[in-house]
Amino acid sequence: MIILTLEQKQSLGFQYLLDDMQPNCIYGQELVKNAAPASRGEQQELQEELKRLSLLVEGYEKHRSFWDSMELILMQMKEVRGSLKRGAEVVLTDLELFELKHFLLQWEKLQQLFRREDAVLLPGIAPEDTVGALDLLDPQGRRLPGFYLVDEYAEDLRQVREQKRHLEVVLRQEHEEKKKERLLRQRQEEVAKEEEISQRIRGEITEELRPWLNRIAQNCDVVGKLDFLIQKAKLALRYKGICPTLTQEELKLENMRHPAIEKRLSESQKFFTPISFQMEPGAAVITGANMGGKSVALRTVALNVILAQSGFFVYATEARVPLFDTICMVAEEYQSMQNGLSSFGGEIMQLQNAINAQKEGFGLLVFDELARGTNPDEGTSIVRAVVRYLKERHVMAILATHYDNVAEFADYHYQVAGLNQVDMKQLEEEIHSAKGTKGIDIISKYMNYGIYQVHGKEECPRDAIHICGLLGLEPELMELILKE
Amino acid sequence: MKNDLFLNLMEGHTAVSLAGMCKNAGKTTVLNRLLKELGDANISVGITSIGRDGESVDVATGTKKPRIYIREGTLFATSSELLRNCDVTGEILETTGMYTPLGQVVALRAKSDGYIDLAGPSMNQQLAKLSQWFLNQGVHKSLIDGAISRKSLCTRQVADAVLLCTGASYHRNIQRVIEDTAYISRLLQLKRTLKEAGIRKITSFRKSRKPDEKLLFLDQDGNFNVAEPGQKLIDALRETENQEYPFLWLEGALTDAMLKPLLFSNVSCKNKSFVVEDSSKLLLSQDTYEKLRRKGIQISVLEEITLLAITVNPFSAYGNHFEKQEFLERMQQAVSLPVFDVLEGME
Repeated sequence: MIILTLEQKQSLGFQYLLDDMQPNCIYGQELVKNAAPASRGEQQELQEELKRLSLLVEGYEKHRSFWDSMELILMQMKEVRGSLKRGAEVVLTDLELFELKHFLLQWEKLQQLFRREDAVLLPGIAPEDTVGALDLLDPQGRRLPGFYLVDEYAEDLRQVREQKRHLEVVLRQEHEEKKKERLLRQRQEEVAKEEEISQRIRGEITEELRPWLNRIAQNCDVVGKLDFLIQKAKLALRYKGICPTLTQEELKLENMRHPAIEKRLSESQKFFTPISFQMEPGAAVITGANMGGKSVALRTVALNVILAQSGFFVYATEARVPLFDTICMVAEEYQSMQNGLSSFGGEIMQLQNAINAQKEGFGLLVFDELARGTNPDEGTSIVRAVVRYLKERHVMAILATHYDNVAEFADYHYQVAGLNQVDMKQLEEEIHSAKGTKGIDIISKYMNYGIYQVHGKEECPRDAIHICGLLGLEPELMELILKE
Repeated sequence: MKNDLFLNLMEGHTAVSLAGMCKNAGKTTVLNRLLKELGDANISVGITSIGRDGESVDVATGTKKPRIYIREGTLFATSSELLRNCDVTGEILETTGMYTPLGQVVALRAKSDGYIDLAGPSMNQQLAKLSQWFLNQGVHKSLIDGAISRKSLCTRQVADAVLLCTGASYHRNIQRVIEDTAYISRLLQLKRTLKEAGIRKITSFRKSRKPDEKLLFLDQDGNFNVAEPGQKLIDALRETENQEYPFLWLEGALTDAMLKPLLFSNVSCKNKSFVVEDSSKLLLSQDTYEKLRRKGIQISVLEEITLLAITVNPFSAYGNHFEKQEFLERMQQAVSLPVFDVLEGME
């Protein structure tokens, strides 16, 4: 498993998806919380998980009632792992026995559900039978939710309770203080006996439960997996995801989307432009003007790769994704001001970490506007050098940058479409008739945040200067800019 | 067999809470009496407490406190760590997901008679939920052993009726005990004077109000005016002096500090009625309360509660016992409610 920090998950928009999931029980909640990319050694498990998820997603609507019933059962599943641990060592309390019984009852319901005609059997998910353990906690076989040490556990328990009950009945009718006190004392003696016998029985039950404890613990894991799978399937359906194909060294994502950004855009009546991206090991550079969506494109690629590697569906029309040993993201926002480093210093530390990490194996390295705060000369040098260094390593490095003259060294060059396919005349007229103030909104409406692959050398688009003009920048100043 | 004291009074009330003016007011004795009367009449009960009442020995006074004794079939809810203090044979029915400092609140059914030790949740919402759960399980009545605190006297959210327990342990001066108890009982008997349209207005105001909007002027027809967010009570009143709003809804608690400036001012409040959620929201000294009344201000509640009776305990944990006949009679004169001596007719 590759560890991502919460900060990284948030910045990628991965956390947005995790927060959108509603696991039914603690076991599922934990898996959602710890969701992370698998390492390459876990490829087989990942493959299997994706297969299960596909099965679930494909048949979800058809088997809707089955999955809904399962969620209702999962909602009842409470934490018992503490009791399982304690049970291996000490005598369990009535409350712990109750909680175990409750879990086992729900488990039995789950097993019955799997025997239904419309049941969906998922490969690798094997609910283990624990009827024997449940019988220990329900000697009457009534399968009712409550628990106490019923008389059936032992004859001496039944007897002492009968004695006690007799005293209690007499007590109810007795009004004379002295007699009442004597009866209460007698009752106290029976209570003590009852407790002693009860403790013995708790010991016996715990002892008999011990051989079952491991199996129950495994079932806890199964409960978590089922819960997690259902939530992943619902997420896939909600945002129309597809199952990724795992490859050795090929990355190809067609018409990707990014649900968190999509949501944000839709709140201001804007639409997300799907992004297509492909590369093989080497370095890819995404360029574009200031208002353009380099960062969006970068995050969309990174999110979808990480989703695939974490056993989620991806948001694309086609997805072929390799498994990486390491995943590193370098962006100004990840370094915190609190640690005392300047933003540039922090970035360089991250860069070094990324360089170190890729030495450990096949790495995905993502750079969002590396050295953005530096002067353009030095910044360009740094980014060019990073591209030249990384293209020789066994990595997929993706860099979003606004520096010119970087792409020429890269194996792949993507360009944000920006305003390059826009009818400038029409745009100008629209801005003109809208009288200035809404210029920015109009431009961003026309701005195409999609990316296209550039083959060979291409003139860097002059969107920045276009935008200056469109926004009606002082004519004299504009003239000077154009002369530069 | 002695006569029933509380059985008839409780008729028609499904959730009854016990409130104490002080420790050693005899609350548990009353509760046991209640449980016995209900048990003898075959009326099933669910019981929990607001937080924890204390130890079996009163730490402050060293006096031994009685324990709660319930009948077989009674439902009860207490914190997991207190289960070992309960000597009934108890069937665990549910873990509630509510937590107290003594662990998770667990709901049980008594499979025998016996003693229990209660520590229920302290949040009103949770108590209300638990109380409802008892009733859903099919019991006839839900009892709540209340805390000894003015603030949680008991809200309508939790119970529809209340028994108030007072006693010599409250104060060494009998006059003071009677006056203060009578005052609290007046607060507990405050009526709802607002009619349907006004109540609807308040309900919708509470749903949509901003955090700082706490004052709402209104009339019986539902006409209204919301005071500026964060505006002080006295300023809001002054601003609306010439407007015809007989009611003022006050969100949250009404305290002495909020009212002091008003009492010293010349703002006219004749025939104004202040409305609060219920009497637990009135954190007023008797002095302030009386001054308000003299200024012409009525106080009413949105949620009425029924005060069933007052019980008195002439025995003080601190040694200064009252003469029991005198205490009983003077309390009876001070209120127009049934008043019982806890020890009289209670073994």
